[in-house]
Amino acid sequence: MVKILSLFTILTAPVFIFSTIVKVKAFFAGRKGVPFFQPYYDLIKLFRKNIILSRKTSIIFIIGTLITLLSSFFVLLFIPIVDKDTFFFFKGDVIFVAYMLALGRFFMCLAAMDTGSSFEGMGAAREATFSMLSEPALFLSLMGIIGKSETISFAEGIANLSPSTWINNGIGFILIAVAFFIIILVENSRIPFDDPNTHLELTMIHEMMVLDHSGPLLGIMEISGLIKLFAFISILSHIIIPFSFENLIIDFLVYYFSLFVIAVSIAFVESSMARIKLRKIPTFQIIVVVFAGIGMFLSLG
Amino acid sequence: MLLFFLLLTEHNQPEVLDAGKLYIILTHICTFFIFLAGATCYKITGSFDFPEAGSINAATADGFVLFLLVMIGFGIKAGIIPLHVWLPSAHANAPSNVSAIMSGLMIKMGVYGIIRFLSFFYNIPMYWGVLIFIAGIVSALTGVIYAIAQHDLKKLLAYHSIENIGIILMGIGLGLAGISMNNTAIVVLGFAGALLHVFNHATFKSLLFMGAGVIIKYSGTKKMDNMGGLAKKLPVTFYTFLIASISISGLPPFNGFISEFFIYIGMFNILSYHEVDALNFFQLMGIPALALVGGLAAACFIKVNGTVFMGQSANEKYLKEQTFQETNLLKFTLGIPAVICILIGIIPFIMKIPLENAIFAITEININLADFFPFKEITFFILLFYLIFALAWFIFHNVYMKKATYVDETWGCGYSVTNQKFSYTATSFAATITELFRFILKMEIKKDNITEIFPKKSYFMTHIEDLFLNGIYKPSMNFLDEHIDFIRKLQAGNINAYILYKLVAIILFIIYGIYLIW
Repeated sequence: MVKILSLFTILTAPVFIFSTIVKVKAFFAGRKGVPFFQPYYDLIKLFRKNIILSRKTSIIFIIGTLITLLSSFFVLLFIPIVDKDTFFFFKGDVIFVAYMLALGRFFMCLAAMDTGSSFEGMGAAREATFSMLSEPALFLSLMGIIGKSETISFAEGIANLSPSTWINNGIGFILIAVAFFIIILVENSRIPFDDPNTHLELTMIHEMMVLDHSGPLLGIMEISGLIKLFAFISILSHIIIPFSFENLIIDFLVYYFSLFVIAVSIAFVESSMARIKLRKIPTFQIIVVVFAGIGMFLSLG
Repeated sequence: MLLFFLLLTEHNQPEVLDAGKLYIILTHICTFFIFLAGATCYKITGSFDFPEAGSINAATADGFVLFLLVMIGFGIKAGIIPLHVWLPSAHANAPSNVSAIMSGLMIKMGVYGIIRFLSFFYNIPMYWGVLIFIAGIVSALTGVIYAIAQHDLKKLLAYHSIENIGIILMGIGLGLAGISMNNTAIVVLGFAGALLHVFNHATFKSLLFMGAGVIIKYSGTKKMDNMGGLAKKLPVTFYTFLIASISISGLPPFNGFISEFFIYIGMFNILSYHEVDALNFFQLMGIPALALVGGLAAACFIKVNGTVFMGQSANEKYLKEQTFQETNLLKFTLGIPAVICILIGIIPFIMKIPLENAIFAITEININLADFFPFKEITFFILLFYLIFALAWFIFHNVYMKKATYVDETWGCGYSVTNQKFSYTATSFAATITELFRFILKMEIKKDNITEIFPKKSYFMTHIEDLFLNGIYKPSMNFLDEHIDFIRKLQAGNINAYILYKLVAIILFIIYGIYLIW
């Protein structure tokens, strides 16, 4: 039953989160916004198209795109979804997940470089730089979450969280949650670090890398982006809500509601802030590392 | 010593001679320290044989002196920062096959020496492990940051050797600290990670250097900025180089990931260790540090692969006349290490018995490695990864690639004809990162300022200096050079004078001998 609900969540939640963000942003801007199920229509449209390839690309362009999707799929296997449940777990899967994400990024950047375009090279350089800087923060906050568990896996680390961990080490966990929230914004190229809507080469990071992806290739990139956003938010929701109601339906609803709340807060940040200067991003990220580090040590107690 | 002559194969170039000089000086300093270490051993044990394992008390002054001498002596050999100065230029200027041997085997002799000497001690204090661990973090981070800033392909790979030695040292330091903490899991995981990384580094780094040799031969330049678009011309080199790049960045599904995974689990084990004190702090910081190193290495190899193999060549004309082709022997040679990389990535289990034996030899702990490391799960998920990838490729190929696929130019923001100057170069890729680390990367910029209304042909050059070589070694050498001139007078070139020196030396020895007997 839990597995079925998890599967249902995987199929619906990424689009649910994305559309919530879009709708809330539209509300702040005084617009009506696109229909709620628009991402599905877009994906169907993209997958019915043909591919246009650049003459300069090698086979890496396609392999890289497929591996980007594959890596986000592997992340889904290990992160806790409904009721702290994961599909698989093994000793050290936290590291495996983080490195799978890194592998996806590696190939995404390679695919971008493969076109020989200066825009995409610039995008790849920026993505590599900023994700490299968010790696330590990610690991520090994961260390805080995993804590003293023996198996170093999401399944056990998240299961060990309980209201009493919040009561005992509240400040540490608040810092970790804040750091993790900012990591979500950085890793998923949201405002204030990157703008998912702009196509201006001076400001954008992620969007610049998919300029030459067309049709199904672009669809794959969008899917892996959606999955990645969902995976991060799901982990955060389990940090924030560490308890269970012992009732699957209520747990499921609470979980979905927490996803909704996090999506709304992301949209709120996006609507209320301007992009920060590209040169200021590293400074900001180092502050996040410090946050996560202090949070980690406090949470160890 | 023999490597010195190998290194000088292309001795008609001035950089090669410089590199050779630097190498031979530092090798002698290294030998000097190792001899001193041997002498200290003699002082402690009274014998010139290697002491038995676990026979020297580490918590004494002599023990610490021996430890320092060993670390400096073998540290020079291994290329630990700041003792690494000979390494980048030597690797970069040797012929590529020699660089492969140097990086794959020779610097590992340093690691071997450190591990061998450490096994002589018992009662090792905690801070030794932490010191080695910190040296590891510093080497890994500084090495990879310098690597990213390089324009020269082989120099970049040389700095990556320093980075990997750093990762190996992190493993050794972790294992050593585990001995002091009496925590078997940390000991085993630290040493196993370090030893496996020694082996893995030998495979993927030799592959990278051999690949670099092919690339340099084909494109006629060592500068990455002038390369591009080689993927279609050297396909086997490209695939094997890519495999090695993924391995060295520590990414799954290849072997570099496995050894870093060992070290990560070891460091995470410290979290669950019951008493976390000030010394453990450094080891906990090892986790984000290793993550940062991994991210930087990945960025660096995106840069290498992206600019060397992809995009467009800056030297199209030269390449058109190039007749060099991948022979079967070349493909075979590049293929062997690539297969090893893939194999250890899928089935790390094959390294279980050798690692267990090696750990037993160092620490005399008899263990089953499968208790500490998830061999089965790794194999399962990596295989699953390959399987799903094959499936995805199959579907994608049959559904989309069979349909009409249009081929056109890269989108050039409205420009219809693009040339190689539109491609992103290695220098510009690295610029965002080198700027971040400008506090240790000193960039020297040479350019021709535009002064007239109609600018003439201009140039712009950047060069990253090694801060340790130019900031510490060269000034101190110059200082010595200036202030010990009087010693030089002794070496007058006069045979009579030399005979006098020998006579004096013999008389002194006789007096010393009489003093001893008396």
